[in-house]
Amino acid sequence: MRRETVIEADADAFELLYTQSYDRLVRVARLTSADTVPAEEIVQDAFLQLYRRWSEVRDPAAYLRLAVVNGCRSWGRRRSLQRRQPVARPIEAAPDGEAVAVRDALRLLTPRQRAAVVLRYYEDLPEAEIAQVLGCRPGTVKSLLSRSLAKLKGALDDD
Amino acid sequence: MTTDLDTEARVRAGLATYARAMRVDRPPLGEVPTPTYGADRPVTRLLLSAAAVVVLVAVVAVAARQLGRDVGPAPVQAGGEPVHIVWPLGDVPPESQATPERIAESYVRDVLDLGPEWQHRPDTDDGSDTRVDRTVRFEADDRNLDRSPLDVSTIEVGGRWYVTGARTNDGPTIVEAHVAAGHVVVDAVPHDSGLLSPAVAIPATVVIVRRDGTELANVQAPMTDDRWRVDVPVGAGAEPAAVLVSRNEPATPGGAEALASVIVLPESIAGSPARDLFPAALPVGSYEEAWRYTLAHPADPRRDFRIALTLALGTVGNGRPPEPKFEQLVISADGDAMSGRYTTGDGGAGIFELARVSHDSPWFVTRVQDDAVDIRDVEVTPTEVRVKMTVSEDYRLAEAHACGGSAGQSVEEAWGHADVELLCRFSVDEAGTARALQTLETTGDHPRLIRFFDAWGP
Repeated sequence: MRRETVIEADADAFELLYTQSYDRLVRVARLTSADTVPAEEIVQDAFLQLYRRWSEVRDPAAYLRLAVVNGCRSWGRRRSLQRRQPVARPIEAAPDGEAVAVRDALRLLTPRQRAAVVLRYYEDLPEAEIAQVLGCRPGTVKSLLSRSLAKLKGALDDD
Repeated sequence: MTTDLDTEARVRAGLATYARAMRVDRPPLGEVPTPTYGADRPVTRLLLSAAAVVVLVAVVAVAARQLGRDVGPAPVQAGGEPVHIVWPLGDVPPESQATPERIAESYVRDVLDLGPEWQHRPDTDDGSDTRVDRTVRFEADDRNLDRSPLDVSTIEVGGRWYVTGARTNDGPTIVEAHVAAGHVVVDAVPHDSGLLSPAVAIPATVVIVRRDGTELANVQAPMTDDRWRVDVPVGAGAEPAAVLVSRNEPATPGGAEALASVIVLPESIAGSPARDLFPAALPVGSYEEAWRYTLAHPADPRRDFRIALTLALGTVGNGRPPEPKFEQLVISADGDAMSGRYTTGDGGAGIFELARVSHDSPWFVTRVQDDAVDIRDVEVTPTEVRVKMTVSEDYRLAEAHACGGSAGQSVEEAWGHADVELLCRFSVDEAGTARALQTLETTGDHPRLIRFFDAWGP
């Protein structure tokens, strides 16, 4: 295979992944962070890192997911004592009452719990893959989800 | 009343609805987004600049891969401050830097963004106010989350405390650093993220410091996933005290900065026939702690031994302060070997043995054995050490920390009965040494930890 063909294939694959994954990853970032991070920047950063390591990464989709979740968790590193504030958003369609209730309930969770919930119930990842993203054991994911659901249930029942 | 399944369904539907309502403006490839944060992250601005750039990078990547080199940019250190200070690099309220605990607390809350479940564990107080460095340990109060303790190391510079690193089990493990003939040799094992090819080299920095924390050498060295060795010339007569290895570029963007530091073993150890045993004798993470206490009490070796042993017991004992007491001490004529009995506040009791190379060397714990443990047989093969033992009480494997500090060990039964023989297997490393670090927990009405720690040399 000629080199040009390989390069074109890489570029096409990257562009395809970008087109297919960008929107969803931004939503994952926003859900995971409860809208306290510049999600678009974090996702763009993730694509940049992927693109620099394109030839070395085994699973680009998993790499991006991990990069985005880590990016949300580490947002603000070395940013002194500045507290997280919700990020201003463009005008959006108003979610319905149930979605707002879920969103507000998510804010009661720790970042780690929120990430587990989003990866499980929005991304539909199995516990083993969530464990890889969070850097823990599958059993820990089970505990995280169990406790998160208990918190969410309490909040939603009160709502 | 809703069930868990109901809650799951509500959360799933709510997330989907909320996500659908989000407006996402995806910039087309070729557009350079306007930066809105992070002037210290200039590479972000290059993102998605054009399909042509993708092609260009791909060419470079292919070429670099053929050359076997990494193509990432050189790591950039913030200017002004010594490189081993990781935070704060700018202004923070002075009171935040008044004590090691305060700066560590700020770092954990405001930089690492950890929640209130992470609490500072009071340090072992040695009664000294002369130390220039301290490690502050944080633990999550919910053990079910299975999170390993987070150690935040700090240093005092000019009357203010700074964070020099935070390490969990995710950081690289420095197996050993020693000085010989004007060179510091560092052996480490990086941790594989599992996402990158094993051939990928991550830029890393090795900083050698003197006892006062000032820098003696600072070199860049690509870190691969294989066992990793760096030889840093420091010059004859130099007195390196510690080495800090930082993996500058996380394996994944946004990943925690992986830092680790240990003491540099003195040259006298390099020539000692016991040298090969010492690296196996103490859990790796304890070198640094033993060192800092040794610094604090250069004239009080017995206190050194107590603190070093306390730290080792704490490592084996799930990190809980065991408040040990020591008795029946037997010290060798040259003062460099010691044995005795210990009792701990959590009900443990047993024997211990320590050794050191010289009066200036830290103490190394070579054996801890609870009275409940009876060693029946030890078989050493080129690849593993097999230890047959019995325990005088019913027990279960205290899984959370059973593997802490020792490589490749396994126990064939997750729980066991009193006086029924148990086979433990411990891997032999490349140097031919092996260490056993086993924690069991009794299953009676008043559970207690049973500690077993031993080391074998070639």
